[in-house]
Amino acid sequence: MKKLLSLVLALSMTVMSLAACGGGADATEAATEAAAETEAAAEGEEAAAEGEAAEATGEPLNIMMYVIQSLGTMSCEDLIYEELTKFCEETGSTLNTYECNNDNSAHETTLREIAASGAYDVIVTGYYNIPEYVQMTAEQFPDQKWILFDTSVDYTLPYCSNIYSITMDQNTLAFMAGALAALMTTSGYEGTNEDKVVGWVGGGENTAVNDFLVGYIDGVNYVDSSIEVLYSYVGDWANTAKCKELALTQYDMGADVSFAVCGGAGFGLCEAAAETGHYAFGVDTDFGATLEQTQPETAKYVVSSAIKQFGYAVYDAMVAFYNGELEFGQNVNFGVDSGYLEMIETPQFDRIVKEGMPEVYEQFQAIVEDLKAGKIEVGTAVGATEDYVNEKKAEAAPF
Amino acid sequence: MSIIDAILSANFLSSAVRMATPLVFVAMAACLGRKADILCIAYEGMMLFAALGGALGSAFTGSVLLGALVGIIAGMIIALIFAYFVLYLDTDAMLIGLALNTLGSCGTIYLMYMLLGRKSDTTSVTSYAFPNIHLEFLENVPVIGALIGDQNVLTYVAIICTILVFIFIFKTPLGLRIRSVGEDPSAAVSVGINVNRTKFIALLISGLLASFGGIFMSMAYIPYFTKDMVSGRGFIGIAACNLASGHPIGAALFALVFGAADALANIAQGFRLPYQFASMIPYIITIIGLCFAGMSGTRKKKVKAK
Repeated sequence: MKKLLSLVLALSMTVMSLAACGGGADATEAATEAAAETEAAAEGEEAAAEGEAAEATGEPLNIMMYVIQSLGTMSCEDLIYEELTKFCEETGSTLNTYECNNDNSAHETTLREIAASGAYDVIVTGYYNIPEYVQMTAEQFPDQKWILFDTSVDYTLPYCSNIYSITMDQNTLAFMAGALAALMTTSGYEGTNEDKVVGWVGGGENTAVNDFLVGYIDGVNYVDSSIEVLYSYVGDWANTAKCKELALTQYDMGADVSFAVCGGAGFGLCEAAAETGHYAFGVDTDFGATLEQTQPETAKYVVSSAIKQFGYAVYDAMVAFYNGELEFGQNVNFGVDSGYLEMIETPQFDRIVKEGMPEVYEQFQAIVEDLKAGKIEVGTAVGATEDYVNEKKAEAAPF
Repeated sequence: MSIIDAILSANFLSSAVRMATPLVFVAMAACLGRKADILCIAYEGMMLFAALGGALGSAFTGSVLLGALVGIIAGMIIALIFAYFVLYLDTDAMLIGLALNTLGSCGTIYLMYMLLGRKSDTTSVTSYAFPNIHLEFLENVPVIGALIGDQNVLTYVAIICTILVFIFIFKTPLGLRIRSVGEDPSAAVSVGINVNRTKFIALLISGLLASFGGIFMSMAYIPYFTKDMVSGRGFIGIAACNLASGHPIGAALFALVFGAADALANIAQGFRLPYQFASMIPYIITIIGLCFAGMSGTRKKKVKAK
C-alpha cells in the first residue's frame, strides 16, 4: 500500500514538474481556448474560406504567437509579444501564445494542430530552427497565413505563398557594436586601458551567434586591425556564473569592453564589468533598463544593447495585414538603414559615450552613416562555410 | 601574457577557489548522503530552490541574512521531500532525485513567474549579496593569499564547513551513527539505533549544505537569480565526493581541482582554444580522476580479498 502511494505521489510530482515545463498559465490557457475554438471554427470553416478577402478589411484578428523559447527570457520574442499586445489593444484583436521551451520535438505536431484548428488568422513565429516545420504545415494547410521573424523559407515552393518572413542583418548590427567597442578601447577615456583588446562572449556556436561574431570582428578591424578580439562561448544560455568568469578572464587580459551575445547568461558579463569597472554591451533586449531599477550600480557599466527591433517590424506587418495590404509569399530583409537595427542610446550610453567620449560618438555616428549608405561591406556567417568562419576568427588576433 | 603566466596569476587561483565554492558545498552534502548510504542526486534541485529562495528572500526582507535563511529553508524543504519519499515511502532514490531536479529547473521558473511575472530572472526586485572579505594579513603570503585572500564570505563558510563536516562525521556520536546505518543497518538496529531517523537527519543536514551552494550562486556570484543558474554543479559536486570515496577533506580538494579545471577552461578560451575543446577540460579531468579512483578502489578490494 505504501509503495503504491509512493509511486502515485512520485508520478504526480513528475507530472507536476512537467506541467510547469509547459510554459505556465499562458500555454494551458491557449491550448484550452484553441480547443474550444476548434469546434466553433469547424462550423464556420466554409464561410471563412469563401470570405477570405473579408478578413483583411480591418476586422479584429485572431493571432497565435508560437514561441520557440518562452516569454520573459530577454529574447526578441519578448519584444514581439509586447508589440503584438499593443496591436491587439489598438484593434481589438485577440492574441494567444503557445510556449514550447526549446522543445524541438513539439513543433511538428503542435503547429499542425494550431493550423488545423483554423482558429487563427495568422500565426507568428520565428528563429532559425522553425522553417522546416512551417513549410511542412503550410503544405498541409496552404490557406493558413504566417508571419515569420529572424528566418526565411524557400519561396520557390508553391505552398509558401501565404508566408511573410522578416530577417535582419545581425552581422551589421554586430559590426556597429564592434566599431563602438574598438573606438572606446583606444579612446583613453575613463574605464578604458591602454591594451588594444576587446571581448565578446557567445552562448554557443550556431549560425546566428557566429554571425554576430563575424560582424563584431569586422567592426573592430574596420576601426583598427591591431585590436585583438577575445571571444569565448558559455556553452549554454543560462550559466550566468560561467559567463561572469569568462568575462572576468577577458577583462583581466586587457579587454575594457565586452559584448554579451548569450541571452540571460549575459547578466554575468554585466556583473563582471561592474565588479572590475569595465564596460558591457547587452543583446536582444535593453539590459541596462532591466538592471537600472534594481541594480543601478551594475547598470552604470552597461553601455548599450544591440537590438534587432523585430517587435516594430512584426507590428508593421500586422498593421499592413490588418489593412489588407500585406503581400505574403516574400521575405523582407531589414538592413541598418531601416532603423530597426540599433545600438540603443540609453541614458548610460548618453552619459558614457555621447557626453563622456564625444570624439568616439562622432566617429561612431560616421561609421553608422557609412553603413546606412552601404559603403561598408560586412562579412556574414549566414550561408558561409566553416572555413570562412574560422578565417574570420583568425582575424580576431591583431595584425 | 602567455597561458602559463595566466595560470600562475593570482586571478587564476582566486577564480579557481571561487568556482570551487559551490562544488565544495555540494561535495560536503554528498559526503553525508554517501556516508548514510543514500544515492541522492537531487542536489541540483535543492540548490536551485535555495538560490531562488535566497534571492527572493533577500529582496522581500531587505536583509542578506534573512534571505539566506529563506534560501536554506527552501532547499531543505526539497531535501525533506526527498528524505520522506526515500525513507518512509520507499521510493527509488534515483527516480525521486530525477523528479526533484526537474522540479527544481521548472518549479523555480514557475514560482518566479507567479511571484514576479518574469521567467528569466529576478532582476525586477532588488536582492542583496554577501560581501567579499579582504584578508589583509594574507596579502603578502604567496599562493595562500591569492587563493583565499579576497573571497566571498560564503567561500570562508565553505572552508569552515569542510572542517565541521569532517569532525561531524568522524568525531561525533551522531556522525558515528550515520556511518553505522550507512555501512550496516542491521547491526545498527541491533544496538538500538533508529535507522530511518538517523538517515533522515543526515539527509536534512545534507540539504542544508547543498542549500549553501545554491545561495552562493544567487547571493555571491551574482546578486539575483537567473533560471537554471546552477547548471549541473550539483552533479559535479557528487563526482567530487565519489572520487574521494566520501571523505570530506578529499572531496573538498577534488572540488577545488574541478574549480581549477573550470578556471583553466575559461582561460584556455582566452587563448583561442576552440570552446568545444575547452569545455571538455573539466569533464576529461573528471573521467581521469574516476579512473584513478576506480583503480585504487580495485586494488584495495584485492588486498582485502587476500
